[in-house]
Amino acid sequence: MLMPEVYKDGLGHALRASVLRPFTAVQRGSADRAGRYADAAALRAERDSLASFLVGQATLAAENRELRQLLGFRPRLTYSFAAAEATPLAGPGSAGVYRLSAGRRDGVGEGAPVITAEGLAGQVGQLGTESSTMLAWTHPNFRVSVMTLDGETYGVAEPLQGERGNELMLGFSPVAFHTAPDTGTLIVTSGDGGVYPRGIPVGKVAASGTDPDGWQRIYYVRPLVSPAQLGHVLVLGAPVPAASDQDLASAWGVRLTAPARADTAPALSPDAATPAAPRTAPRPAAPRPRPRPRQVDPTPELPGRPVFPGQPRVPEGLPAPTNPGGGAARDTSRGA
Amino acid sequence: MTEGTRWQFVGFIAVLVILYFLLRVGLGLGALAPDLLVVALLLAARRMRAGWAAGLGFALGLLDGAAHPQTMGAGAIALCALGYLGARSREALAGDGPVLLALYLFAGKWLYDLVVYLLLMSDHLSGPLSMLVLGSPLAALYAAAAGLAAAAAYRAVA
Repeated sequence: MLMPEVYKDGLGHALRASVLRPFTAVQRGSADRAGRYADAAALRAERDSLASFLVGQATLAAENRELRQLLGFRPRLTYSFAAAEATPLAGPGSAGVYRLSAGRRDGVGEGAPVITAEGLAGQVGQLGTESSTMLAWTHPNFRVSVMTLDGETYGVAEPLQGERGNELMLGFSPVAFHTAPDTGTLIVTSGDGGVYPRGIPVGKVAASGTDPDGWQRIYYVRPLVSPAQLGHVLVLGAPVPAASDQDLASAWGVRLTAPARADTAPALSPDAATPAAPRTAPRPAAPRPRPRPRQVDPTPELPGRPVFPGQPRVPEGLPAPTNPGGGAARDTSRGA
Repeated sequence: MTEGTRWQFVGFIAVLVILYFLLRVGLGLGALAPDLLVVALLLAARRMRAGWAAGLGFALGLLDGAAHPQTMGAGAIALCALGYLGARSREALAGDGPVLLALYLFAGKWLYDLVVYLLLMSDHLSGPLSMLVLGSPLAALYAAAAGLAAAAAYRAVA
């Protein structure tokens, strides 16, 4: 206010790096301590779930790599991230603003998306060396390009207040009249604009209405990330080449049925016999039955045979241990 | 707040400012911690000339704006005006009784919230009106209580 943004940022950064440096250091330390005393049992359960998920996905990733090589696809991109603690700021005008315990030094970039285990939480606002601020989805200036999983409905979501009782929700508009997402439909980021990667879950459609002019629908989206539960967050970094999926939807166990944008088109070799057919544009919405969004079970079946409690685990190829009592132990790895 | 030497009073105000940043920024307590910055300015303004109090308010506002970037500028203007009004209030509100001090702190904090709310309205950052009508009086009450306690502690020491 009354000061150009560039001067405001510069002055704020200078004060944070000098006079306020001891306080930001204390803030960083207290955030680290809070993370250290997090519920160990919950963290262990999360780690175990992730481990089982990774074991189940290992063969799929290898197969996917081989198939992509066979088809001549270039490696897709994945995203780096920085973990941070988010604490809400107090005072007038601070609604929806959080302080993150990670900054430029941790690889956080300006305007980077902030996510949690549930979905999109917000966006990095002002960036400092050791800390930064985050504009959560509740902030009045928050905007995100979104779509339905089938890609038939695109739009921009922004926070609305007071239009649905006292509940703070996102308004998904402009939505044409001929598309009608059902209540409960999952809304994800569309990747338009390049700020947010495609496929991050944002929320679910809770209700619908029309804009004041009556030409467009507006959908009320209940976000998946509750502001009250914002604590540990991940700040997405720049995409790095890797053999994984650029659509982040799979990280939440969601599969997009919308056609991907031209980000990983096959690289044509100069001696290619037949040129690749041009990509067809997504079909406009028509009165046909829409495919239901498919949910992927996030806990895939683990390979190998199940091992029951009380039974000895014998690796493949090794002789079964003998029972000190005289009898032979059952070899569970070979079956009964 | 006429007790103690000049440097004792400066130290007292500095402690309040440091406590404010330690609680709100360092420990991230947010609204759980009272707004000691406004309290410090209002108490300091009672012993300063209007121009100096306005300058102090502006400096404190810039510091606060660095910690809360969304209010940078608006907070500085509001604290600047508050410092000036606080210093001029001695002409109208003579005396140093606890009731008067509590009322002064309560009104000052609420006025600060009101000015920041109005200044942020142009950027649509002011938030819902309920924050001003319901949240601000409670915050002002909290700040007044904290200010009274701090003033009593200062009087006991000085």
